[in-house]
Amino acid sequence: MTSMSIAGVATGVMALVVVLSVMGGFEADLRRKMLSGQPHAEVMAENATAGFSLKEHPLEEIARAIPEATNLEPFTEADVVIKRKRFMSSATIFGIDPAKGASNWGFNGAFVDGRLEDLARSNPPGIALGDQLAGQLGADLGDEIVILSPQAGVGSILGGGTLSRTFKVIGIFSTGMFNYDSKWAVTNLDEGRRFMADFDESLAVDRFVSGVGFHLRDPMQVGRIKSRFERALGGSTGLRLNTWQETNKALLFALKLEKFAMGSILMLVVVVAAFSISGTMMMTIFHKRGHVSLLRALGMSKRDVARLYMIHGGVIGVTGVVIGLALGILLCSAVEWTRGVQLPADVYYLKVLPVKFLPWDYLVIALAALGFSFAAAAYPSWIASRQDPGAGLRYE
Amino acid sequence: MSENSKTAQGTTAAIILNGVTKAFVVESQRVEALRGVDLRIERGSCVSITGRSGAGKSTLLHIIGTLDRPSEGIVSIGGIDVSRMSDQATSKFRNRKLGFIFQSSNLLPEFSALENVMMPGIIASVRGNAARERAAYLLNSVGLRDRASHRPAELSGGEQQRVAIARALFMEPEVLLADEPTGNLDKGTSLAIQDLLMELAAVHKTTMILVTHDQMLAGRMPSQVIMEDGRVLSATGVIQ
Repeated sequence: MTSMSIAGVATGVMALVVVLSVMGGFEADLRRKMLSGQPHAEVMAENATAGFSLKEHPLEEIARAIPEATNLEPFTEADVVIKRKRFMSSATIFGIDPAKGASNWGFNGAFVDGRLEDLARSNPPGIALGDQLAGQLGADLGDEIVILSPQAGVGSILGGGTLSRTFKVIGIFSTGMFNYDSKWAVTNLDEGRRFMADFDESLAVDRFVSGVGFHLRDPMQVGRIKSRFERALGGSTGLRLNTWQETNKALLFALKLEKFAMGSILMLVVVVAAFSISGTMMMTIFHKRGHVSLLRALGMSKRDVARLYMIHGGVIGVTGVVIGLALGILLCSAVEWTRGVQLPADVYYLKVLPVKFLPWDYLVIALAALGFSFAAAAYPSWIASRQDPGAGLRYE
Repeated sequence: MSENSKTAQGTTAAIILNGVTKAFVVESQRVEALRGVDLRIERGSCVSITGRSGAGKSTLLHIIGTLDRPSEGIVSIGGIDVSRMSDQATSKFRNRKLGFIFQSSNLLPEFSALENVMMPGIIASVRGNAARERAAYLLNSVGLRDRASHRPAELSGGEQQRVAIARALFMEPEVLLADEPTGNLDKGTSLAIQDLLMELAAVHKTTMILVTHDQMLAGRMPSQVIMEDGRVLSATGVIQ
């Protein structure tokens, strides 16, 4: 019975350690990819669809307002439809300046085919596709694709038409983040600008962009920088700062909520295991009634008996927690070292199950499990201590 | 200070019972197991308590042994009124001053004979080596020197009872309380245990109170109390 109770606590603790470690791994991996594959912040127009003019707000002005910023790079962004032969897919066309290297974005350095520099070519202009998107379109390097976008500025005076431009695939990239690899089509800034809302030639003259992305040495300082930027340039200029935390707010919150929910549900396993400690101890007290009476006859006080049973419950709890922690950490280590659990990349944005060791979380799990174990032991201990010593001996 | 407690002070008596009553409530009915028992047992005396089943012998022994509290009356052991002490104090008193031998040996099966004998010392936090030495000495004195490392299941009934006797003597108690100590043993073993008990009580100058149905064993005791229906029917060698 005691070993079953220990196994119960150990299983609960192990499950908590493994699940929270894997979720921590997911979060850490995602955060790392967010910080290396996205700008830490973007200067955007209040009206994000309209964008803003680099003539009106040159990069130097932004650099002065945010001295911590590195790799200031303008970009355009628009939702489009990509067509190749009979294949069609919705996508985001993303315009960058190839000369600046696009170092703020994950597709830089993630080219599995072709080169980023070829985005500068024209006639037909070059485009790079995420590998998942290229797969959906059946597109390969050198293929021609057509990008379609409803545009107010195109067509008759009575209504908008459809902008249609042909591109040549000059590269395919794989960032490891599914939402980029399945949605992004990257071209140069001039071509990207054509797909911005209400495009006309004046936007090109005024060098309109959707935003300017940049990196920070310490991405965690982005909140402070945002407040300062908005004091300096916000309001009247019509500009705002969009931070990486805001961009990924829903995802980060979902991860945190999921971790909390999973942790709470799995903690119930530990609570159930703690109840089994109570059951085991009640059984022991019933079976060992004569022994308790004997110990009382030999001079143990009620307090001593209660302490004895609390130690019994504590030993079950401590042993279960130690075994659970050891097994959990061992399992996580095995997953990490062997990279044994492969994930389908079209479902997850990761190829292997990530693990992050979380000592503080383990401490909280251990303390909570021990707390539940001692709480579960308290009632049986009290019952045992109340036992009349004479009664137990009479029944022997 | 009550008259009874005055009586308990400054006396050479080991045990004084004054108007001891014990009542239980069974299915809403009050059942009196003891009805005003008065006894005075001198230091070093050996007393048998006999009587029919349900006469109140074991209840009286448990009350003297502080395993149970009287509903009314005073129990004084060595001049101390034990019927009104806290649980902590009573437990300590029981550990230091009283030794018990029960009908079944009541040994702890997970422990060796030596460890069982040491148990009162462990409870009293006696130093490990000293407790071990004393337990070995007592096992030797009950003739079980070679059985020290054996667990109770590996011992015969008589040997188990010898271990229980050694355990009862571990703390050098003032009073030894035995409840049918030979009740589960065959005649030969029973006689050997009786001899051992009498001898050890004499050697250690311990007051011994022994509850038994065995008239022969009772007859070997210098003092005898016969109980009936919760009262002392007759007492020989004991002041009633």
